[in-house]
Amino acid sequence: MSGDRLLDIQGLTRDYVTRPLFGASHTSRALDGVSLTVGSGEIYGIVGESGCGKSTFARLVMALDRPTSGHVLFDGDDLFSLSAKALKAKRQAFQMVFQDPFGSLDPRHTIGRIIAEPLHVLQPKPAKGTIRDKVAAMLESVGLQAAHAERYPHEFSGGQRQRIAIARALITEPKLVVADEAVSALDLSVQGQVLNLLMDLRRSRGVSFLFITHNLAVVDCIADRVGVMYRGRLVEEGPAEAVLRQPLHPYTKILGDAEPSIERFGRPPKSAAPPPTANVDPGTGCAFRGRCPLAEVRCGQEAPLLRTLAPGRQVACHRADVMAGAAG
Amino acid sequence: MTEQPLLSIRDLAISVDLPDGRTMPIVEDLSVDLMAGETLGIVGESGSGKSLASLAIIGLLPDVARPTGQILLDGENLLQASEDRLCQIRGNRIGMIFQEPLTALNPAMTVGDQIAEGLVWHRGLSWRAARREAVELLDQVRIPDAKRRAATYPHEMSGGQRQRVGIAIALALKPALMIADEPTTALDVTVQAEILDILDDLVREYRMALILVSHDLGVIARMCDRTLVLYAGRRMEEGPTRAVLGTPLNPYTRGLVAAVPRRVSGDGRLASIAGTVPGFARLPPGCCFSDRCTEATDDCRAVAPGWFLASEDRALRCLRVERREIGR
Repeated sequence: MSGDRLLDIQGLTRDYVTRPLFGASHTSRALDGVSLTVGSGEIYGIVGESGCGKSTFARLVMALDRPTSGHVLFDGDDLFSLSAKALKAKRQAFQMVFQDPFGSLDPRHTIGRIIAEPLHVLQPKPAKGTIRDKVAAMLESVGLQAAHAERYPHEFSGGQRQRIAIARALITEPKLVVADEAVSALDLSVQGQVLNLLMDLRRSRGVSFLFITHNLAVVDCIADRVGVMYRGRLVEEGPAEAVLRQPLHPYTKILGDAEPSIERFGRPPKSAAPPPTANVDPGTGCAFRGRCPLAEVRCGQEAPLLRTLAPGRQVACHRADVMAGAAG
Repeated sequence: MTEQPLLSIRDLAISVDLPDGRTMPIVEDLSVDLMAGETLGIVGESGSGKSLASLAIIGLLPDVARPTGQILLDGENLLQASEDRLCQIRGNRIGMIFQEPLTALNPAMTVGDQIAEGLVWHRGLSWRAARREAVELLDQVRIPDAKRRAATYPHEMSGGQRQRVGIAIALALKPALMIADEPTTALDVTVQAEILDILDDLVREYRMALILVSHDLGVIARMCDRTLVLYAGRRMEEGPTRAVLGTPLNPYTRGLVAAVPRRVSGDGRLASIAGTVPGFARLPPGCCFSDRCTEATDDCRAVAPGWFLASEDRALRCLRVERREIGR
C-alpha cells in the first residue's frame, strides 16, 4: 500500500466519568493512548472483544465524540481543532457504516432519499438532477438497481440494506469509511457478497477502510493491516496475515485459538492458560496479566509499551520475545 | 439399531396462519433421530426455519403455528400431549437455552431463585434446598463466587455470565435433551469457548443429547457429531459433521462452506452465494434453492427433489446429485 498517511491517530485517550447520586465520581478509561495510521487505499482491521474500546475508537475517529487527549489527523488536519463549520465540510471525506442494517436506515424514507441525505450538507448543494444521477450510479455500483431508489427499507433483506448503507456512506466520495461490525449481522451467504463489494470499492475508488470487528476470519479475509485492542489499548499491530498466522501477543493467540473454525473438528485440547483472575489491580502493570499464560513478576509492575519487534510489527508485551521464539 | 432413539422427529411440518386467513407452510418434511449422548447441529441462515423447529420440539410454538407429523420423546408424541403433560416435560426432560440471555431471564427475580424455581416445581424441593442446589449449579457453570452471585439480579451480570445462568437454569433438572438455540452468538469468542466447553462436559457427563442450532459452521464443527443443514424450511443435507462440512454434496452446503471468510490470495474473491434467501411466499417452483444454485437445470426448476440416502449415514436433497450428474 502507499506510504502516505490519510489518517494519523496520535495518543487517543477517552475517559468516561460516572457521577453516581451518592459517593465519589468514578473515572473509567475506555481508550488509552491509541496511535495508528491508515494509508490511502488501505483496509485497516481493528479486532477486540466487547468492552475493549473499539466502538469508542470509531466514534472518535468519526469526530462524533471528543477525546480526553490525543489527536486525529485526517489528511493533515486535526479534526478536533477545526471549527464546527469546517468539520462539517470535512465530513464528506469520511463516512461510517453501522452494524445494524435494520436500525440505521429510516423506515419512512425512500432508499433514494436515504442515500442522497449526505449530499444535502455539501456546499454548494448539487442540483436535483445531479443528485438523482449520483444515487442511481451509486446503487448500481453496490450491486442494486437504479429503480430501487423508489422503494422503502422494509422491502430489502439484511444484505441489501447493508449495501444501501454502504452506498450512503460512499455517495460523497469519501476517502475513508469507518465500518463498525458492518458484516456481523449478515448471513454467511451474503457476508461474502458484502466483503467482496468492499474490496472492489477499495480497488476501483481507492477508498480506505477502518474495519472494526470481533471476527478474526473476516479481518483475515479483507484487511491489509490489523490492530488488536485489549482494555482500551492497542496491544499488537502489523500486517494482517503475519499477525494472525504468527501472533506476538499472547492475547492475539488466545483470540485466534478460541475462534471456531470449520477446519477444526471436535474440542480443542485444553490450553495451559490459567483461569481468568478478574482481580488484578488495573492501575499498574499489564492489563492482560490476569489471563496471560506467560505472565511474570515484571508484568505486574510495569505496563508494557508498544514496541517494534520486527519490521512493521508492533507489540505491547514484555514476553513478546518468548512468543516470537515459540512461533519461529 | 440396538438402542431406541431418545428423540425421533417424523415428517414434521409446520405452517403458520397469516392475518389474511391463508396458511403458509414453513417447515416441511423434517425427520431426524437423536440418541442419548449424541449432539446434532442444525445449520441454517435466517429464515431457514431452524428456530421454529426447535420451538416445536419443546412445545413453545406461537399460537399461529400449526405443526403436523410426530415428535417422539422416548416414544411419546409431544405434538399430541396436553399442555399439563408438556409442563411436566418442559424443563424436566427437555431443557432449552435461548439466544438472548437478557430477555430470557426475569429481571425482577434473583438468578439463584430463577434456577431454584424449576427444582421446586418439578422435584418438590423446599426453597431452601433448591437455593442451595442453585449455588452448586452456578459453580458448575463456572461463575466465580457463586454463593454471592446467586443473590444478584440479571442486570448486575455481564452477557457471558447471564448466558451461564441460562445454562444453569436449563441444566438444573438434568434434562435428557438440551436444545441450545444460538447459545453463544451474542458472546465474545473467548467466552464462547468456555460456554461450549461447559456444554461439551455436560454431554459427556450425563449422556445428555444436545441439539445445537447455529449459523456458525465453526461452532458446529467443534461441538456436533452430526449436522443437519436447513434451507427455507427444508432439510438439504444430513450426516456426520466432518463429512458434511469436509465434503459437502448439496450445492447449498457447498456454497455455505465456501463462503466462510478466509484469506484469499491476490485479487481473488471470496466465494458467496448469489441472491438472498427468498421469503416463504416467494420460493421458486421445483427445488427451493434452484433460483440461487449455480448447478440448477430446468429439471431442478420443475421437480421438487426428494430426500435420498447417499450412503449409510448421509442423506441429502438434490436432483442432480441423486442422478449422479454432479458432486459424487
